[in-house]
Amino acid sequence: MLELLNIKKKFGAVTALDRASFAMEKGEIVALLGANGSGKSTLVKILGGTVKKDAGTIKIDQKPVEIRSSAESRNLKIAVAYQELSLIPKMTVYENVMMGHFIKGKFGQVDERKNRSFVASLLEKCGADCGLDEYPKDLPSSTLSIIEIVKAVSWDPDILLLDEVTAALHHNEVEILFSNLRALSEKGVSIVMVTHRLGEIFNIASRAVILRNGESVADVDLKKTDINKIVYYMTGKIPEIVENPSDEKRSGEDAVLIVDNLTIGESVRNVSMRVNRGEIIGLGGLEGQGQSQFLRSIYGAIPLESGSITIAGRKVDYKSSADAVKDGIGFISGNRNRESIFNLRTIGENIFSAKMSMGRDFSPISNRMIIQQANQIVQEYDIKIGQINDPITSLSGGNQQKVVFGRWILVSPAILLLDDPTKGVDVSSRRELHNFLRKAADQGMTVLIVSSDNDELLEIANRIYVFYEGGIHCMLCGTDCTEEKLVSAMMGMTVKDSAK
Amino acid sequence: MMEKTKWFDRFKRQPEYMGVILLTAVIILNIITQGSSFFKTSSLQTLLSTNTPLIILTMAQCIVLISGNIDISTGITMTLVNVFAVMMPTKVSWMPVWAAYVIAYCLAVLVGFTNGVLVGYFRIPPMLATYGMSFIVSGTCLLISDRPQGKVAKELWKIYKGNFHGVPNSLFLVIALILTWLVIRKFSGVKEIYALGGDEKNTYLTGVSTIRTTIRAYTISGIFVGIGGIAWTLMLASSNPLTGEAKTLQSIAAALLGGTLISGGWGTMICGALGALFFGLVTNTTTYMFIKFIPKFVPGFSVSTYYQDFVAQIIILLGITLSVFVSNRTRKLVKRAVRIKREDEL
Repeated sequence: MLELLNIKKKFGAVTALDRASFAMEKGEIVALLGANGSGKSTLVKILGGTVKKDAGTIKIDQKPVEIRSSAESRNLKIAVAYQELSLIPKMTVYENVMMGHFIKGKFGQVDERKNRSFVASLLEKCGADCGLDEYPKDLPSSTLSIIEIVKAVSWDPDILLLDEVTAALHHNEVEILFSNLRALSEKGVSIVMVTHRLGEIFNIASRAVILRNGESVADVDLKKTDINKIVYYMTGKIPEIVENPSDEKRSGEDAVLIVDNLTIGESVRNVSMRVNRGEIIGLGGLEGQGQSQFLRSIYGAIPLESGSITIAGRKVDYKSSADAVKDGIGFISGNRNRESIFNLRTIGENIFSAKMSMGRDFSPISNRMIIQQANQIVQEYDIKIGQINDPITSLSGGNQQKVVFGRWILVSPAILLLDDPTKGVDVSSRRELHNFLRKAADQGMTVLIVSSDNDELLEIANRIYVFYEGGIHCMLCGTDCTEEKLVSAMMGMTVKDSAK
Repeated sequence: MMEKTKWFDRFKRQPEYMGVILLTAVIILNIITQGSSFFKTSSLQTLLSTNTPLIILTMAQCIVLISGNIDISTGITMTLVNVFAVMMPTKVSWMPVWAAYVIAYCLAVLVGFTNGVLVGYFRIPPMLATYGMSFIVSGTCLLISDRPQGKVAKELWKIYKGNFHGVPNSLFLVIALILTWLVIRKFSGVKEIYALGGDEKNTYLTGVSTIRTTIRAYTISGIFVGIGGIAWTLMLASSNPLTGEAKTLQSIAAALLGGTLISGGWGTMICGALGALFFGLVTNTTTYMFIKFIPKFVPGFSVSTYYQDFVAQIIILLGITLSVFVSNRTRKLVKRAVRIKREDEL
């Protein structure tokens, strides 16, 4: 009943979807799988009406349709439960669920009694433990996820899209959810599940469509396949289980960073690691498994709940990122526009900005000083720019990122944190950036790099910590650093899984 | 006992909580400074008829604040209604008085609607859009009449300033508007306005048109501003193109006093009414304090009226601080630890 043909979507220079096709029948439950950047979220967003496709056709019941807005998607009886939740924090649970399609009374007013009993029955069926008049802020994230699902189901959709909804759910809640989903599919609702928990899909879905680099590469019957095959389709590698995880307790004398049992809410759980001077540490895993939050908590941008961070032998508790910078920590985000460059300022000023935060509030800064210091960095690292006074937006993404890198080199931090720095950066710039990092590491800088790109991790990292669902699944070093092992660890596979 | 605490806890979480407490406090203060004369029909009547325009204006402001926007053209739009309704019949010979009122009222709604289109459809920041609009409206007012002049028929303003069995008529107007609010808040259209102020992106994801909802909020505001303008006209009993604009900021302050949050999604029109009444009563009570209450104990006490304003404004500032502080504390946004900060990924 739902058919997607050759969907294409580009974000700037980055191709998110290219010839993605997908089809499903009434009452089917299909898993939509893919590794980082495979475009599965984009596909969900296109169906949900928040992203417009560039080319391709969407057919519902053989009729081609256009989805231009979220409202149009609802009209086509498509409902989406988003991973990031679409709840409104200042409204009650019942209003949140019924928003946009309240049951109306005789005069068009909201019929409170009917709405309430409708929501109450749905919540009870899905096992949500909350009152109708509670506000989302008082509820745990697992309950919020269930409410998000209830909200989507309340639209009585023909097509239900669930984007990573099980990520926040407990085991028994997943069971209840699955039995509800089965009941829905028997009633004729088609369900698309996006999930990173590969074990789950065998329980619930009959078929899996797998995307890789924006292309749909396989459509497999889950009864006739196993987890290794699926991972192969997702990544192009046959996973190899890490049987003897490398020894964590390396007793380096000059440990620069020691993290002990770090926990942030439900996103990062009991993460410990020990990093030596001059090491390049890769933090791998599927997107959203807690790596970014972990990095930001070291940088003081997210407060940690428990655990401790020791830097250069001293326990630290940063109240803000400014404290971290003063202590010699640098941070480069892959989200250039929002988190790293100053759009309207010049290249020179962008390079100088970190140094500026070091001085006192009213120390004089001359233009010549900025240009001189910035030029020095540009020459030393051979960053290709026009004039030092050109706006930073005159550069390509890769060169912008090199400028941001230069910003930190200027203050020579002891630890440099990078969050997916080469996202959407062309290959040659990426290689140059890697060279910069190696050079800096040789000079004694410690580098922690989160990357959604496995090749990148394998290429530059001395050791790789693989995150899965907020914890470190395993640590790879030396001969363990192979793509096959990395892939299996990313999927959270254990010896038990492969036996299936 | 159990029931009672539960009831109080529920009340504490209502947006009106702070407004009610502040209003009760200031009423007690009024009774202390003024004694039983506070309850006299004549003084109640003056108090209410002077403050009704501000109350209505604040109610109008509230619905815009709830939608997460702001409207700084309300005061001048109220003035436009006033100037148009009073002066047009004298300038345009064929226009009967009733038609002038009707057109003036429609103009106010139109201004609200246009603001909504500018903010919702053209995505101009609400502060700028409504600020620009206030110049257009203000220019129109001055074109019609550039100084206070004109007269409203005595029969008309007598109704407004009169009373019914000791209850001021203007109070009936306010009550009628509050009842209107209690009815319209039951409609999904108004609930969508709350959603829009709560989280615009998620409102869109839910399939609600954010453009239509913004326009709706501003139009409702315009409808109330129009009524406010008529009340303002009847209170002044003449036309005055100059004094209305100051009411805009007063209405925003009053809305905050009542417990509406400037960040949107929280508050009710009743909050606005409570806050505006507090605003009026504070001015009232400080006047009495300086003229009657203190001189009673300190013979010969007399200060400039500017000190009265000074004290009144300090009380209002304290009230706003308290109210915003309490509202924010009860309504702190969800800390979604699971929610990843990076949203614009592929």
